[in-house]
Amino acid sequence: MTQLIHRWLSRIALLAALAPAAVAAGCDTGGIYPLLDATDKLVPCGSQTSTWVASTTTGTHVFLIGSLTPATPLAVATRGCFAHAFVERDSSTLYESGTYAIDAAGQGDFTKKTSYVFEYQPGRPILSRDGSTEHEHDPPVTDPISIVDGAPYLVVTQAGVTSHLTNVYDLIASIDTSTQQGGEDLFRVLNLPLFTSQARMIGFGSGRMTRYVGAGTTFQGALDVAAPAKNEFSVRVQALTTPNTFIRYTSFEDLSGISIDGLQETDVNLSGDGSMKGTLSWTMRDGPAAGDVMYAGTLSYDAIAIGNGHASGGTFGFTLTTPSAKTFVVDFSLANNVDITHSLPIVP
Amino acid sequence: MRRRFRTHQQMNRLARQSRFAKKVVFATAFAVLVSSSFVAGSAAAQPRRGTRSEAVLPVESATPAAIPTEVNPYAGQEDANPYTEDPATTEVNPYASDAAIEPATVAEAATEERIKTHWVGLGFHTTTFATQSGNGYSLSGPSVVYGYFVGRRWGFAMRGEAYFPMTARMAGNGVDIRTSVLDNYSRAHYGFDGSFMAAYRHVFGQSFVLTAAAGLHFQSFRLVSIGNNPIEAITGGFALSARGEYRINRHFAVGGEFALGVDPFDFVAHSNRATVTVPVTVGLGASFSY
Repeated sequence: MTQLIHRWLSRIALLAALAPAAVAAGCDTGGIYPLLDATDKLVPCGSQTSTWVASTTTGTHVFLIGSLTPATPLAVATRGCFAHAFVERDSSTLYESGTYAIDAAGQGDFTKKTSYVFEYQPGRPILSRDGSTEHEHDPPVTDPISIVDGAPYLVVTQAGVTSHLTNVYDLIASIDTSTQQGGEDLFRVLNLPLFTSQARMIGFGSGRMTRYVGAGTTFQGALDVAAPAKNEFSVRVQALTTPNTFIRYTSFEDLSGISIDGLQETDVNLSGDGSMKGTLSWTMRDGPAAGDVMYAGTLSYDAIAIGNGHASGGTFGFTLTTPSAKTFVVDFSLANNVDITHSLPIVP
Repeated sequence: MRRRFRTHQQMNRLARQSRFAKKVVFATAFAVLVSSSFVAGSAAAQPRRGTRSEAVLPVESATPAAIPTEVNPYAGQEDANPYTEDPATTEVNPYASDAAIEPATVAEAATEERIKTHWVGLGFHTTTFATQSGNGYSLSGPSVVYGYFVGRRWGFAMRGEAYFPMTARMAGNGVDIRTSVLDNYSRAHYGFDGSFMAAYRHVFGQSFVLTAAAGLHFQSFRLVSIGNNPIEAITGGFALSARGEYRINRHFAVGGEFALGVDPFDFVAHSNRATVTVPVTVGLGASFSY
């Protein structure tokens, strides 16, 4: 009897001593974070926010500017919301948020408080990837900017890089969904807010997602809404050993006019192999009013295969319900081919 | 000529190699200690020649007069050694000391019987650590402890502890934050602490046993919140522990313990590494030996 007790107690002691190794797999390499460091530091922009986009040879610039007429001077004392994202063709994303002010000549500064980076790293095993990372600037980093009206574009120069921007409402209105190419363009535009939000989801695309095991975490959308309405997305990972990931979008709006609802589920093993499930319903407006919905539809992930943490096969079920019912079969590879130059040509 | 300056990539590579070397050394030492546990705890390990088990000796017979010894066939040293005139010889009467066996020697022999001890206790655990960013943290809360010893005077000791931080503090860089872990890291707040050690066990008189141990240590902790970034680490280093026990009878004892770890290694590739982690536990408990 004592031998039996001894054997079991010894095993318990060994397990207790080796428990740290088991926990190692779930550690977030972005730490060690400060005490009471908020996961979601984004300060949403108010209702008077406009969203602007521009294509480049390597990706797409997205600007959220806390004014419906961004070239209008904004005093330093009343700084406005400002965010800049750059989504590369392969879906790698940089997201910077902070505030801005400009004078009568359109000259001013963008003070960055937080930056987020997501690097698409298909060549690395999923547990070795960086995933989305957060960089808090303390003290804030300041970029010189100029914002001038260069009709039909808004011309924004940030740290010496000039972009000729188109309002996202105009981009949506310009897409012709009568062709497969138009449908694919709409799919890519719909993916833009998904990419900007995933960049803020610390650990996204890596083994660090295990930080969301259990109850999960909720993030705000970039555009503020009045309560009780919500604009948010939440993420939850089932367990360390079964890292199935559930991302739920609730009236989610990261870019003006593009709203997303629904659950996206990724069921994978520890190597990042598996499949996706779920359907998102979405609307796209071509104006600020709630009734300006130009397109509505669904995006189904049910036929997507996941390999090493990325879409590796299958097709997206991309369906239009408004203005008329239409279904596009979109190849999985378009998730990492974010080229919207067909609808938004590069302006030299 | 040797280059005085290295590129950033070279420095990173050197740092990685250094960390890898530390991990290899730690893993090797860990393997040696674990292997020693199998040796110390092996069923093949027999009591040392000439010692007698306390369990097989009747208590009333544990006196010098009652100990059965072989009859001394020699009258004296000269009889035992026929070469006494040869200064080169060193042979001595192997029975000369039988009559001089002292009670203390009997007690010592009894303490050197191979024993196994299981210890269970409750403690108060504080983990203090510093990070590269210059912040100092401390996490404090209750813990449950299990300890195991196998050996004679020297032996192998293993210690496992689960602890549950209740309060946390971070100071440095102009801030000093104290918070309730239960309120702000409600989703998960726990830690594990383990040690594999070489141990020395000494019996004072008939009732008091002191066990001191030193060896390898590793621990982890995890504070997870819905709204805050997690605080978690896995560190390793060196352990010291001391346990004093009062024997109630041959098998059971009660006592207190103190355990200390000094961990210079952060096993997670944190971007803000723990530079040194010092967990300390004081606790009370009971043990069972056989």
